[in-house]
Amino acid sequence: MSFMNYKEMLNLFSTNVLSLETSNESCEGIIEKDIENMRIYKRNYLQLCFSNFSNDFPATKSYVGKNNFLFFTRSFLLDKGLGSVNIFKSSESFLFYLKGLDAAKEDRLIFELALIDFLWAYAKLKEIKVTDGVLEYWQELTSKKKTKKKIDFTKLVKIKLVEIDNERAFKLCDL
Amino acid sequence: MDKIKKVQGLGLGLRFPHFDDILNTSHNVPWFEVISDDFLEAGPHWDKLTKLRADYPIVLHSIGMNIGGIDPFDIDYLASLKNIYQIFEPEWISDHLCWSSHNGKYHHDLLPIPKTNEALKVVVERVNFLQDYFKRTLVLENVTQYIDFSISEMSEIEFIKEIVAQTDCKILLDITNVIINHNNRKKDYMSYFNNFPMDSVQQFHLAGGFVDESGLWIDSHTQKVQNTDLEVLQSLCKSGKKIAGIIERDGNLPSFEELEKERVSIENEFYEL
Ligand SMILES: [Fe+2]
Repeated sequence: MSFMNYKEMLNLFSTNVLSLETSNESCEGIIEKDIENMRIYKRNYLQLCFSNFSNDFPATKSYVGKNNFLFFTRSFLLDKGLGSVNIFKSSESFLFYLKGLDAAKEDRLIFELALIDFLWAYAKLKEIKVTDGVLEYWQELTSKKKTKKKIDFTKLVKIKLVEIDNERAFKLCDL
Repeated sequence: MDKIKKVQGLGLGLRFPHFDDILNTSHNVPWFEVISDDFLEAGPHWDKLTKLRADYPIVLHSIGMNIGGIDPFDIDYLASLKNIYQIFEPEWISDHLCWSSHNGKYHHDLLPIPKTNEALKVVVERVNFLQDYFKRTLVLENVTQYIDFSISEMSEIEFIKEIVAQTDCKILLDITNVIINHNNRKKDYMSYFNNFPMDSVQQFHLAGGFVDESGLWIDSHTQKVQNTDLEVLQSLCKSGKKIAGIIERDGNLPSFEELEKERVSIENEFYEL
């Protein structure tokens, strides 16, 4: 007969993994051996989200760099966590999490690039407003084709996702 | 739709980068296992799946039912699954003998269940609920487990046998997961297969893992299937078990052509239909 109930066991295991900390002390009462292998479950949790967000936000990742992007993913998981069985829904939460970060407040391109990434990946937003020149910069980051257009921080543009001959494309609209 | 074709033989897990090649090239894959969670919402990928389903039998394999968890079921998720079962008519449906969320927090991982009487009761109740809800038999897959619980009260085989006895569900035997679990504990895996309730096995999985920096086998689905796993498959076939199965490949994805070559070579050398 076990002395710990199933719910307590799930609490300990889940909390330990979601903490992403190296210590596994809290699980000593439930795990017989190989407790250090809890790191596999922590690595899986971080890796899965990192690769999911990397797929959905390629320009943002390229702009901030891999290490910063991993740091943003990690802090998102620690602050918010994944709140849906559908992993794809987490990208929307991540987008708005990015918006609130100090780094994004200091550099508006982080959120604007993430907004374009998200629109491209999910076609969920009707239209978005971004700084003039950011769309061309997004295209440069995702296709590696250099743009001559300069970013004009004094001007905003509106972007829509449209379909032309069954292909997705961005359309610039009047404000 | 060709409803006469049945799931049999060695198939493949469908992965998005292969979708167009599968639909547009000629090949001999007899059937596909499709990840339900990739098709929960309608979109252009539904049209492709409809095309695939017209030519091949499929099974739908999900990862989020949280069968070993204690959170209430996500009813929207279950409703989406039920919807795609009705639309795409899989020959059977499966998920994992694991838990994946707790207290409203999602791990998106296949987490191990301690084999206690209390956990058994939870799983049996939930499997019975799900089978009733879907009006289908559920096929449950054994998972890799990187730790051992001090609170376990029975072996995994005893646990599985009890679940089958109390729910009439079927089992998806992941051969690779069993071998990885035994290799990581330096134990003989053949006695596990010899004692396994093979009559309950509906399907098998084969995949390829790797050994990490600490010497631990990781179930990564990123490599070709190991020969040890193929020898087990061969011995199961020789003992008269004609079970349908698939190769699972997720990361480090080769071209469809290359994966199909691996499938055919396993089929020719190790797998008797
Ligand atoms: Fe598997």
